[in-house]
Amino acid sequence: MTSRKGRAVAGILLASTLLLTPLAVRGDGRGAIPRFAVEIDSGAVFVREAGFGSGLKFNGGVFFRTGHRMGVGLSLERFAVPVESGTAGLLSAGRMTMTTLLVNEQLYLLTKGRLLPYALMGIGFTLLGYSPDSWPADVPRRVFVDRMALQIGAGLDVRISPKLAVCLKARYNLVKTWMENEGRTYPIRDVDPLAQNMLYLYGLGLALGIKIGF
Amino acid sequence: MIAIPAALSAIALRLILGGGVFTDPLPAPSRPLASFVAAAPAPATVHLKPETLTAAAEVAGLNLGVWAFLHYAANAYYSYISWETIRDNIRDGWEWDRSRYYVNFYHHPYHGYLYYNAGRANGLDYWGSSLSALSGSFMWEMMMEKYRPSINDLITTTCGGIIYGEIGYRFSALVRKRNARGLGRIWREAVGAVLDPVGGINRLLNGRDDNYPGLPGSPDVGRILNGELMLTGPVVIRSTDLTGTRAAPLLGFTLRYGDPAGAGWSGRPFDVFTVAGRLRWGPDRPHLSLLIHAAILGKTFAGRHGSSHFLGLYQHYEYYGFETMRVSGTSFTGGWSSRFEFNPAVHLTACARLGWLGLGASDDFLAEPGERIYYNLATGVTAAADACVGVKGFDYVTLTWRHYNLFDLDVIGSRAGRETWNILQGQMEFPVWSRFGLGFEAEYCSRRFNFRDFPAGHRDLVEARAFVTWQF
Repeated sequence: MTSRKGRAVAGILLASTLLLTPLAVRGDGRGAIPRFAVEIDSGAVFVREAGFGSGLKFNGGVFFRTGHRMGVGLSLERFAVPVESGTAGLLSAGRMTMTTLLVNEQLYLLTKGRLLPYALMGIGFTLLGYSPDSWPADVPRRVFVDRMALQIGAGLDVRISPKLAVCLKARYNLVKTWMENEGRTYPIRDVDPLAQNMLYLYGLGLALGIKIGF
Repeated sequence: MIAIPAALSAIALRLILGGGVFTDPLPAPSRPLASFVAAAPAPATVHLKPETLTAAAEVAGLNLGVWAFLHYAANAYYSYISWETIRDNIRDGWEWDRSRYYVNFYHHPYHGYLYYNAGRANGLDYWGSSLSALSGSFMWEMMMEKYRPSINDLITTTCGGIIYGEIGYRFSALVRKRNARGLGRIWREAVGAVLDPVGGINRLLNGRDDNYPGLPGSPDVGRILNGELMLTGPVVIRSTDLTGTRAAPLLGFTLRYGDPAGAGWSGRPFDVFTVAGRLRWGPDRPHLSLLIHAAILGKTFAGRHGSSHFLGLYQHYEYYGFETMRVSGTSFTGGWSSRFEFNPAVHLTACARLGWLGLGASDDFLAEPGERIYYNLATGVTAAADACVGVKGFDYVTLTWRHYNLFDLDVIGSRAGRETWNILQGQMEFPVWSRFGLGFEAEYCSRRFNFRDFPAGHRDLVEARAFVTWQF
């Protein structure tokens, strides 16, 4: 009984802290865009290419303000989506993982106030993985070719305190790549990309997160 | 390329608005007696806060934007890059790029010009912006193409970018006007943005802050810009070894920023520079020649009887092109300029420079004709001399000489050997009405070559033209 009461009190205190802290510290002070911030977000990603599904994504990184209304975000993102059998000539269904090191330039449309919308554009160094549910033993494994891809999108920082903001983000990740047999022994430079069966793994990611400024 | 729109815009503005547009906020000096007469003294230096991080971010953004266009719109095969291509580029090191002549010596400098202006737009000086051009080019070569990084691209992008970038920046600052309002502001900003696109975007993003770096009122304003515009009908072109006698119309211009003899030199690079251009229509296709030199270091000396002298270190970017007589390069020279006043109405200006041609190129006429991918890469020695006699504000006689002693590199696609180029121009002009006049020009280009496994020989080209001129 005591234990249950204690847990209830602790829960109420925790919830109150989470809910009331933002109300206690208004976010309309000066210096709205932090010089440096840590950002974490999560959400859903939808891959446009036929045969690829949707999945959850996770992203964490840092942000540096580089100018009056400009900043650069460096982050690491990862998601996994199901792949149907037959897609891109694959013999088995499985999961594709995409791990991306993102370098995004953010241009803030507003620089002060509670709402800070911005446009973003950047590049992602994308590492692609494929895990088949099963694969014939006598057939060479197929792998995705890693790519650098354009990121475009927009976001909104809702400032709930001078140091804390809730982030809404929509970002399009434009990966153009192809699959090849595992174990290529010659440089990727010698491969003609225009002769490949190109996959347009364009993924729309919608995310919600927090940004903590310093 | 920046030089053409810059020149045409500057001339047009000069024609429409007169001298004031170039000297705001300083009062315009009285019209010089001749083109080389002393420039206005430089305004006091204004210390601008450099936004280094923003400049770096913009340089990276420029690369990103160009790459995105090539990858998604043009689907260029060399734009398919990844960690692996970057790793391979770092591992395999530098090579000599064999893109087409105009790509390597025209497009690359334009790309560098954008990098440079990202630095300038964010308050960096010449040296900082030069580093901006170098780092932008380095990033592109190492990361943004699947090809191995190219040493000649790095050099032409950086050195050409610095020249075009600083010229664009200076011309843009001349056009714009502090506290301009309404339509005047709009068109000044628009023309300024054409001359300095990255600066224009920065001004657009950061609002109309007249104290922002790069705007009028910076120390880059307040200099005389003068020169001439010439237009001819068909010119006579004769060469026994090339294609006989042909004719082609020509538009030429010369812009002199600052005083070649150093009056008004404030110690900052590009306080003095000259851009001379020739655009020929035909006989087979348009051909552009651009000869640019700018002082980056120097010292002035006052002489007797009103004469003045200037000892300087110059940066050049030159692109001389006509059929199979094409030579270009980036070079650094040391030189001397003097202006002698014989009496209040007559003056003589003479300049001489000698130095190192870091990287140049000449067309390889022994290869398949017509394809500009065939050219020799070279290093060598360059020399130049100019002389001009003016009377009562009009330049009557102008002589120029350009010399290149090329050591053609023994690298892929380049024919090893030696070449000696001499380009001589002589010009006589006479005033007819106001600043307009008639003139006659003769031009001689000689190319002597001694390539490996090929008999030594020479090619000569002579041009003669009568023209209408407007000196301003």
